[in-house]
Amino acid sequence: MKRITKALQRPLYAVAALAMLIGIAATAVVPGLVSAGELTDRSIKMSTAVPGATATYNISFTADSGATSIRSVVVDFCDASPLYEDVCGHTNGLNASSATLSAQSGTSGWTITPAAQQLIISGASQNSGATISFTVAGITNPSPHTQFYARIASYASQAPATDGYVSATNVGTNIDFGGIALTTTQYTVDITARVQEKLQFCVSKLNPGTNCGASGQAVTDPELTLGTGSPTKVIDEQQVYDDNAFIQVSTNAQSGVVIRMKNSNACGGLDRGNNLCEIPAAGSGASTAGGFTISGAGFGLYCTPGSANLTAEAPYDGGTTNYGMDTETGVTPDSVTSTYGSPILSSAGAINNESAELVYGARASLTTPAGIYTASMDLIATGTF
Amino acid sequence: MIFNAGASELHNRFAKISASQAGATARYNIGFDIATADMLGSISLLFCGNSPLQGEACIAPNGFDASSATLLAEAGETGFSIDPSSTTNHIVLTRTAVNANPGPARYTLSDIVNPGDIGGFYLRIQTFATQDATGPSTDFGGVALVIPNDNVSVSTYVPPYLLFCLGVTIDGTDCETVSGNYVNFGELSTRSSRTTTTQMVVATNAGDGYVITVNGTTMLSGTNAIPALVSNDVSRPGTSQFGMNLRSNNDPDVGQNPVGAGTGAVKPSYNVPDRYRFVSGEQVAGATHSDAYRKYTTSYIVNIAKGQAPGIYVSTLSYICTATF
Repeated sequence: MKRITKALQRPLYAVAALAMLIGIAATAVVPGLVSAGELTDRSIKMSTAVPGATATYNISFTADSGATSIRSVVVDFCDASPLYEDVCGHTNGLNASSATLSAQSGTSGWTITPAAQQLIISGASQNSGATISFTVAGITNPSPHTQFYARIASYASQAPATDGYVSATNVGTNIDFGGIALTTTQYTVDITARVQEKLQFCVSKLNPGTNCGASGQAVTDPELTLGTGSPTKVIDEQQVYDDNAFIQVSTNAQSGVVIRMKNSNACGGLDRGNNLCEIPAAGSGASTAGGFTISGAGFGLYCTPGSANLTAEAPYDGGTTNYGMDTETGVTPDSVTSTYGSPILSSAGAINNESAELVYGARASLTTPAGIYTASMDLIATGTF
Repeated sequence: MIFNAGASELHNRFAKISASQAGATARYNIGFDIATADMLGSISLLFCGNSPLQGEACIAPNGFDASSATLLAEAGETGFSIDPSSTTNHIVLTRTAVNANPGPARYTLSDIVNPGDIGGFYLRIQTFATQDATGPSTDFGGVALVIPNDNVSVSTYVPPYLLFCLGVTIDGTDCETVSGNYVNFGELSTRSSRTTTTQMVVATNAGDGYVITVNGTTMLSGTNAIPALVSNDVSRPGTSQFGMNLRSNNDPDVGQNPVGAGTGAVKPSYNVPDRYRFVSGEQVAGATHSDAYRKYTTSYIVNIAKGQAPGIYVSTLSYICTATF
């Protein structure tokens, strides 16, 4: 090592002398600059990098020069270089002429003087050792996509021109200086995901487990026999005899689902195959809310939703004593004999594994002819997406 | 068919069907809100068994057939017809392209055969500026439909029944209140008629109604008889008579007319007030169809002449009600 040092002594002196000369020459070449400190921790955070978009820039820095007070800051936007020694070309599309100072930290009461490619922010004295940030809104990003630069210089005077500022390449006597590289982005990341429309619906004698019996209780055949006795169940005029089934529905239809019911018998009641409807619809087929007590021969339904997410529709909303079977034609809601059926249950929005109990009841009268009475109830679910 | 990534979504879209059974022929009411004010020349209705998503391959629902579909009604944007290019699972509604107004549109199609399998299937709706559903779509949306596992079948049995009760008295028409099966005329007189009553209630769901017959003998005491009135006659004190009717009478004051919700009637021979008769085996009342509760009151009169042999005179009457179903 000693040998190497001795061998380099003369060349080291020569190098040192040359460096001094260069330093003096550089100072002489660059006009109007008094030796300044460096702005540290400097950054400009853009609210959007989309070319041509209107953005908010958060300009933040820590001044370096000790106790010197700052009263103004100049931000010059340039196309090709952050160095004040270099030409500051026009950044295409960038426009800060409508910028506003929406927030400031480390200063108080400063104001902004915007120009197309420059911001001058000034105010009362502020110690330069503080961390300062300005939030500037309303700056139009460059367009098309490009890399561009900001040159930030701080000054002791409120008017930088007082301290010799002329332009981005003739910055005068500033306190601190720093350059920042910025860029727009050529592309944004577009993310797309599709949730497909869903409607699941089933009918069961026993209340099915989740997802229509995929787990828990399986769906069972919804075959109902009304009446009492064994081996043959019969109905009479003494009371209403009932039996139940369940529906379960799930959908992501945002406007909800409607479940409608159609009766295979044109009259809406129970029939023994002669189309005379000798056990007619409950309540004479009216659609009155609350349903009807079946006091003579009649057939009807009431619905009991499993939760408030489903609503029983009139006249099937009679609770546990009143029944309905809407057969009114030409009025809203539709009847059980209409093309699309009578609404019996509905939801306001998407629902998951919601169930409802359907209780069908029938009663004979003294004069109801003997026979086997039947009906097939078609249940149709419609989601509005 | 091109999926236009810039297309808008059709809101409030639905497909309401008139029958949910697998394989049934149904009517489809399809609705949606048109989102974009643009030229509209065709609407694509593509039914798929696998997915509602535009751009994915479409597998036709098994058994689904819209090849015989008819456009029954339209509302909102109108003037459409079914394009000949439509297939079993793809209906193209076509018209001369005109500017569409954003808002509800509704189309009713008949004679569409539901899928043959239970479970979900889908409808993909797209609108086009072209008349044949080619090129980029303007708006789109998917709908989920479902064929449920089963209908609810309801059955019950109403048995044939005939309700008939008889007694001295019956409260209202309640056969639970029947009281007594023995009436006593007391000591017979030549100067005044002796009377009594019995009651019977009947109801039936027999489609052809019922008849009630009276069976028995006149008043007998050994070989001595009080003659029955074999033809209708008034009550004649001092003349040996036995007769009855089912009416309210003034001479003597006995009996009441039939009451109850039913419409059964007294037979003519026993239906004349103050006229009495008794012929065993004759029908006294009946109905020609099913009938609710009907209570009949039978009035009996007995008169004797001076020469009527002394003794205890008795008669046993049975009433038979026969329903025809």
